[in-house]
Amino acid sequence: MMDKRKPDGPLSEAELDALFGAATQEAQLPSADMMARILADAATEQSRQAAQRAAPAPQATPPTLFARIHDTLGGWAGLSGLAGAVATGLVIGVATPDTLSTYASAVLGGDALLTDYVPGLDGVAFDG
Amino acid sequence: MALDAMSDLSDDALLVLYANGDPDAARTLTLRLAPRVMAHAYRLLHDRAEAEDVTQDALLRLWKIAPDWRQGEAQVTTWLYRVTANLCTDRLRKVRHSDIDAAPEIADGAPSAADTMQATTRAEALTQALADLPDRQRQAVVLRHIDGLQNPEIAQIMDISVEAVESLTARGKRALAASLGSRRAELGFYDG
Repeated sequence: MMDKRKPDGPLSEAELDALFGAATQEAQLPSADMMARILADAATEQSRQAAQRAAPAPQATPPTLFARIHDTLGGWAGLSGLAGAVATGLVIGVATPDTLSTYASAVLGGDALLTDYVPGLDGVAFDG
Repeated sequence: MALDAMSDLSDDALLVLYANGDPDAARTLTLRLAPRVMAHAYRLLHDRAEAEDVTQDALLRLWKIAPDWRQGEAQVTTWLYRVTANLCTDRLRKVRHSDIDAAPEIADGAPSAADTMQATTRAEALTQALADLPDRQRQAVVLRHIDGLQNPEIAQIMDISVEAVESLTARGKRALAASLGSRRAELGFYDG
């Protein structure tokens, strides 16, 4: 283990191993205070995790009727389509045939007759 | 579960027990792991107070990750060594920026006749020489030659190849041998 030829030369493998062995034996051990702090951390964290598990999942606010319709129809595009269909249905439902023909002429073209598009209207008696 | 029965359980099984609320699992894990983390942190930091802080911090991170731990995927010790090394590296960077001369000096002419004193002198000299190594070399040398881990586990901890571990430890040892060569007599290796 002694190296008298090169006293300031690099340590040999065996000398280095002796240093590693000394370092292993001189390991710094945690103090009792530190172990107590670690265990206190563990207990605190365990309680926090248990509380987290026990807490009920936050209830989501139930969606409003409008929101449900909005989602069901696929957003604003669906809503505007529905609104257009409702308006058209309303016009058809309340208007007299004359008004309807005027409406149809305006929408479909000047010479168009409503019966061209709604043939069944020929046989319908209107009360006015 | 009784503490005696827990001593036979693996680290990750204990961690799962801890996550499930077992009050004794943390004690067994702490007794098993804290000394290793502390010793490793001290070898990297050469400062007992800092090493204690790192140990507490590393174990706190272990408690926090417990609910998400996947048994069998990784070793708890491997994860813990990695966290410890990262925490030490962060602290070393701060120390280097603030006060590089604060490291304790080893007394000149320390007695080497008594075995215990010689062991202490050798350990302190090695710790001081380790402090002069680049971070990665120091980590690899400590894990391999002082903590006694095998190269594949070190490779996992350091996230490098086994070949890279071998290279780091070889270069680290050469640097240590060179820097400590001039202290051979003080270390009890040369009586001429």
